[in-house]
Amino acid sequence: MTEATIPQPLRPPVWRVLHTPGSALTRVGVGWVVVTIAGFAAPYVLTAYHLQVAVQGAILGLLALSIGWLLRQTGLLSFGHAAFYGLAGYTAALAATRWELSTPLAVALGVAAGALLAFIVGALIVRVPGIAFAMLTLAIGQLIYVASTRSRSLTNGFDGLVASFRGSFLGQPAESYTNAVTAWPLVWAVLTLAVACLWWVSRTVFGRRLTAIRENEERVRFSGQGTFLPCVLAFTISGAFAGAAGALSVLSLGFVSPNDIYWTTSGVALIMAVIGGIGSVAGPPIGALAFVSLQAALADSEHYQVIIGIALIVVVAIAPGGITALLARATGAFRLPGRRSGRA
Amino acid sequence: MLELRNLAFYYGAVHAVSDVNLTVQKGTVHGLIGPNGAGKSTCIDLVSGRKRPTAGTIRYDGNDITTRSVRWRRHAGISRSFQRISVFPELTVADQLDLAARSVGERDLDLVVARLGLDTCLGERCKQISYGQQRRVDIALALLGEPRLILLDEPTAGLSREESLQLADHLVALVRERQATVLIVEHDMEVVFRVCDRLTVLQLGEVIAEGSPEEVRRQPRVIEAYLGRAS
Amino acid sequence: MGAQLLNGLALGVLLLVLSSGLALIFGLRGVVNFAHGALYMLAAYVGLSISVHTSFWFALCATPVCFAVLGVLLDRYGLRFLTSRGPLDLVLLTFGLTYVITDIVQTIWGTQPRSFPAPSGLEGSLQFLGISYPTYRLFLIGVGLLVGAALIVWLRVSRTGLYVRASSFDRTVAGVVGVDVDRVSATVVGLGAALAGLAGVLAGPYLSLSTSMGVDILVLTFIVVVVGGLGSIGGAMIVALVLGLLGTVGSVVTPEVAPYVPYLLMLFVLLFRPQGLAGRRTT
Repeated sequence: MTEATIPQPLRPPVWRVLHTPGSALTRVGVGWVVVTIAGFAAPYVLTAYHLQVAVQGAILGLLALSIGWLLRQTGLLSFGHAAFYGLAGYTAALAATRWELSTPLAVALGVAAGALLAFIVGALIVRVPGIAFAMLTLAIGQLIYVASTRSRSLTNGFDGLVASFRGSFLGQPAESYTNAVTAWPLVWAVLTLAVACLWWVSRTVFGRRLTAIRENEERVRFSGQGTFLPCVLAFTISGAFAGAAGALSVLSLGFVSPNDIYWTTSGVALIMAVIGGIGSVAGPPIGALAFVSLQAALADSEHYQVIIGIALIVVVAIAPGGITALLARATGAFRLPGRRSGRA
Repeated sequence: MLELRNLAFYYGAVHAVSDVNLTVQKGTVHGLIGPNGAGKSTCIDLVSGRKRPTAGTIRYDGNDITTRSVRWRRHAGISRSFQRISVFPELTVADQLDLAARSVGERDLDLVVARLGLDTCLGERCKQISYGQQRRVDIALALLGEPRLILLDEPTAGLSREESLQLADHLVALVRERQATVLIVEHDMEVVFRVCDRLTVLQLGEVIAEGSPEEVRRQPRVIEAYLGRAS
Repeated sequence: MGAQLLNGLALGVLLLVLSSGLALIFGLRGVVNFAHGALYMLAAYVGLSISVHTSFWFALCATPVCFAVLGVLLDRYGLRFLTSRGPLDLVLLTFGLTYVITDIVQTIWGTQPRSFPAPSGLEGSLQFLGISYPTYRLFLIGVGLLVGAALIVWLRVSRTGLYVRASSFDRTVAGVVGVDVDRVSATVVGLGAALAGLAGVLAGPYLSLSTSMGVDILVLTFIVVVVGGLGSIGGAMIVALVLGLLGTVGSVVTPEVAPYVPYLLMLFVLLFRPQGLAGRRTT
């Protein structure tokens, strides 16, 4: 047997390849700050109607973010996230209205309920392989929907639940959040913080492990790493954000109904995420905001279903990365040099 | 170090592996050869934990590990490469090696990278590098964390002759440095004779010969298994 | 009780026809057709319109044929170009198709529920095993079971059927054996769509037509196919019948729990066997 020549390490070691230069991170940070601050100016720029649309759009954007991030990070496709969204809304509404808890507590309970349900569901079905998982999420979403229509004593069935929040919440009277001007700063802050938070999670070892599981689950196990717990945790985190969206929704509308849990809510949020582009963490909210703008521009056309459907088909067929991928190609933004894990 | 006793694996009526007895001495490179369909990859699957044997036991360092999980085995120092390259296509080479290194406590990732000549493609996504480079990433994943028993399933499959021999030399060097034990399935006889200390020959799931490479290549049963009986 | 059992059988048979179609398409193309329920719904409405202008019997024959053609077109001009894409993309595409089809149905037929009258000759009730039972539903059960049996025979006997079974078992078989994949694929997707079409027309006089009927049954179909094991057509058929029977029997015995039965069954099976009862392949 021959002796191998030992090559000197000529190139930068591994960590240097992984390490993102500070300049790039600063660029991302500055971009985020600029967009966030600009967003707060919305009430001064938009009409009352458009602001209300924007509030609902941002809430849907948060839901889309939760679904899109989960898909991007783990490859798990969920058609049932509306269950966590709706449960959070119902819990917050019941907590405030029927159990007469303070608003901050009610909201927190709502989010917690969404996260808890996501944890249970995740633990039950995350091991189901491939597309079957997606089909099951649809089924579970509908299960929760059926439950919400049938528990009249608890949820008021098809009529929905009117929520009245009392006391103050974050310095404002709680009932005032049904006014878009009050609601917008809260909703926008939560959305931008969520984007930042999930972006950061994607870059941690945990986030990168999730992507590895998405790419080749078997090899992850053969590398000595478990795959069940990380996926359940990711699903729970995603469900928590969906729950946050649900709590915000009931806060800003004062109302929650089984319709919020129907599969179309999940479906629309998923479509928004795909259209915005799941390659980037910020893609889903962008898709949502673009979508509601389009919807408002079409003045609630009766045919919005066919428009969504065709938009989705077109995006998937021709522009799989969605809006953010198109923007990335055009401007070079949304791309972080150095670290290039994950899609697009 | 590794002992397979009466190992068997059946699925349906197919006896992929039947009554295999094999012992791998510590610090050696043990080759597992035989014609196609002999059950060699199945043996690797059984030792690595990918499949559960129908019968028989696997002893590692004297302990019975037959029912241990894949993860347990990896942390006990048993790693493997895959016949069909199993890497992470969308991740960069650096990223996937780094993640794997963390899982098994590898302290000198750069050494493994340099050894396998992967330092030139660290920043590229796995799906964009050449087949040979992907193959080396697949093997690198198996070499992290100073494993004590390395199972290699046709590590030179699809490589050119030059690449194969280069890889063989790299493997030997790394193995000697870290005092690891290797069980290698190979078809390329040049590589086999270059790196292996002992050979076991399988045919249709059964052991038909065992010994040093020189001994084995002379046995008529082995020649017959590969070339068929002259009629 | 006997009538309830027959109701269960009727629903089970509908699910059997529908889920066989879904399993077929999945078995060959690896695509889970999220538009399957929408196709079923469209077929019910199309069948209604055809039968109003001609006859139920004509609709029963023509609609599946139309949908077979639709399936072939979908395969030839859609799926064939997208085989290199991951399953996610195809799921999203068929999901988008659901919206398009739902909008078409709503535009042409409106959003109000419709009723599909049973054809003359199948109205009224029959004495069957000592029970008085609607004739149409007996007809539905008969046709459904016949179609299911014919499908099983075809799968076992024909070359295309053998090919479908082989590639359901292992996707890599497709393309290696040297059969014209594209032509077989068009046949199978056409057949799957035709089954959805048949289920839709059969369901018309039994359940009332609405724009949510597609999703309601899609969820049940998914549960059937996943519990039966993705890729196993026989498994899907058995689970469909079981689910139909359990569901309606349940609504008599334990009315509170009845709507949850499919979901509980699904969770129960998947906790112990994530790949489904007869499932072998992982996507």
